[in-house]
Amino acid sequence: MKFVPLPINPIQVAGTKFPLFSVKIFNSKINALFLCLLLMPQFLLANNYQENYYSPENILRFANHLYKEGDYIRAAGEFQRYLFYSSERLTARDSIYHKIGRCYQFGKDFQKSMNYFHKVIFNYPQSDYLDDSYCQIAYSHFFLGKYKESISFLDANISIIKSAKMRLKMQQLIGLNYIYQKQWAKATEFFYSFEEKEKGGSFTTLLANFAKQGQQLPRKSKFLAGFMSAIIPGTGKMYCHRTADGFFSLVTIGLTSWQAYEGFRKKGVSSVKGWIYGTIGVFFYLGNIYGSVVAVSIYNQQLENELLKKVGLTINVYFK
Amino acid sequence: MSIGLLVFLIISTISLGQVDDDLAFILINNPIGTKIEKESLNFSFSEVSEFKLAIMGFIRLYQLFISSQDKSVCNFTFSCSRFGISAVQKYGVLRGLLMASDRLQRCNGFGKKYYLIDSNTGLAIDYPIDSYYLAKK
Amino acid sequence: MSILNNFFQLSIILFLTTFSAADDLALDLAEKFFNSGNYYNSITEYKRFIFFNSNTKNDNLSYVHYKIGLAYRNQKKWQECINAFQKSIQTAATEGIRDERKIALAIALIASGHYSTAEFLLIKVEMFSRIPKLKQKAAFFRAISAVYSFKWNQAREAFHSYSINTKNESQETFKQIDSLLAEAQDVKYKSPKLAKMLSTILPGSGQIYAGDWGNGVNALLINAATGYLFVNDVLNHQYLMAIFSSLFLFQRFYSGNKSNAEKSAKKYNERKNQLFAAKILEILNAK
Repeated sequence: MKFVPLPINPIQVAGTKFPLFSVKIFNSKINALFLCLLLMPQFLLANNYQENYYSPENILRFANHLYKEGDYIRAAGEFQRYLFYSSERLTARDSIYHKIGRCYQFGKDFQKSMNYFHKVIFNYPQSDYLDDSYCQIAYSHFFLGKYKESISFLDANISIIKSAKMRLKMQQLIGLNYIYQKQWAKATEFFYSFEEKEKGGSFTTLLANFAKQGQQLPRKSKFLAGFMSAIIPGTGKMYCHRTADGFFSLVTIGLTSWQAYEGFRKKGVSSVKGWIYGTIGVFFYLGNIYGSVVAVSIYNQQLENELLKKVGLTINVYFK
Repeated sequence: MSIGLLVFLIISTISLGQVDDDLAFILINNPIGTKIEKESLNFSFSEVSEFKLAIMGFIRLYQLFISSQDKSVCNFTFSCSRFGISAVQKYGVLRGLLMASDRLQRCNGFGKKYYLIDSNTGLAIDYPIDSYYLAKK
Repeated sequence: MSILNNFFQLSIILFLTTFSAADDLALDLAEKFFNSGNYYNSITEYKRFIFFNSNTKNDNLSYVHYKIGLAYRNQKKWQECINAFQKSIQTAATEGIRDERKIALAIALIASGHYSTAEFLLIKVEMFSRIPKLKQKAAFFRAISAVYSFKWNQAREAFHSYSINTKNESQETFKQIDSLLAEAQDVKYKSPKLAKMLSTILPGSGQIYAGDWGNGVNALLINAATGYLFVNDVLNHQYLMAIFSSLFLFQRFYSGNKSNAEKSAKKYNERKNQLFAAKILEILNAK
């Protein structure tokens, strides 16, 4: 259905001397009071249609509504529109910049969110949102997986943060960045030195324990796995708890080697069967050694990832 | 007269001419025809190394004439031949063949428990090939 | 009598002006954005209108939700589109408008591949709508949905309902479509079960029956080769190798051949259906 805006305006129809005089409509005279009564609902409704949607206050109301609804990117656009339309004497720009930054952060556009937090920091050094802006930038780097950048940013700016509570959280975030980079020894050292100086509390102790667990994970040795597979095919994989894969490798290599041996035994070097099965056997044998070493890497990674999952669950609650 | 005008207003807003637009919209967004998901192999003859091309070509021929006749027994979402071609293409002949050999030995029905399972197909997820490249990341 | 006459005339003016959007900036802007294809901004402006007018009794709300649905539809955001259309249906003032919106929702469902839900909606409109043009439109799209789902009988019946009140020049088109649908109903499909059985007896014959000569010959050759290996090993008393070649090779290719034969027959049937559907839709689109 195509919406067709109709050009009729009740005020024009009723006449220019509305509403005090009687007017002529469709060749009949009609009482002005009767006309007022008829058209009153129209004017009540018209008030809503006449509402100024684009006044700064209404733009802000709408932006807050979109934010509450979870339509963050749209909300960010509206907050920016509010800044554009509001007067230059508006002093609360820092709160709006901060809000826009949060919108982009929730909308997962971390780069843009950081830009707006930087605006708060550079333009409003006395702002109430300054501390939180620093924290959000550090979080954004962390969520983007840029752990080194997060650490260097925090190292440079943590002393500027006034709130002791936020400073503590940022210290913990530095340690978390080490943990997520799997630098367990550094993380452990950091948390223990931090504990001694700052007395970070139970959450810091928890993170320190995670770091220590990371150091003490029961990792496997790549060299040992490779060596075992070279001696007895499949045992390297069994060493990594992949018993089924190891057994399958053993059977496959065993069968092909046996067939190759049978072939060469019967017909010597000219045995076609020997060469075919021998090539296949060597192919699987080398692949098995390679696979055993890779299996160790994967095993060690999985151990670390499982620990990081636990860390992730813990910090979800804490870093809201 | 006024009621007639009212009814006319409602009905006139219903446009049957828009049926053509709606049909065109449906045809553009939902064209008839199966969308066969062909394995994206990035196989091209513009490969620099002849040896690489030969190995990839061999695997491709195997896919066309032999594995197409085989039962669908691969336990992984990303088939072994596709894995092999990708490995050779990305990491070269030697490393690619080692990775393919390892993959063939892992492709057994008993090893599914070591992987995450794709809920749609029930197959084990064993991708990307970078996980099996043995180098410091 | 003259006062009563004036009253009626003024009522019309009142009624008409409640539909006037000339005074509403947000709607005006939204329409302009929509018409220029800037759907993201049009949705923002429609949402702005809804936010400021949701507490008032505004007959435009249903229309605005509908336009949001159209904007999402054009962006192929099907879930948001369906939600918006559903809100539009809920806030519709009259049954006629509600039915119109249901048809719009059904069109979005057909475009996104949800044919059975679309058919269900369209049947409701066809059965209960009081506006003949809407019934006709619903019948048309029900026919389209049936064509997509290859339900030729239902498509034929729906096209009949649609064509009853159409102009004479369109009757030729419908005769053409009707004959195509009749042909589709009578088409001889390949039986997947028969294909499988044929391949069990002779590997590759099921694929050939389904028209897939390449795969059929390939299956025959591979099964012959692996079968030969197995028989050769048995005749040479190499029973272990015979077990190896039969288990790992012959059995796999033989079972593969059977399942491929079934798939070939199904693919043949699917291709045939798609050909008919494509022809019918091409004729409709051209007209």
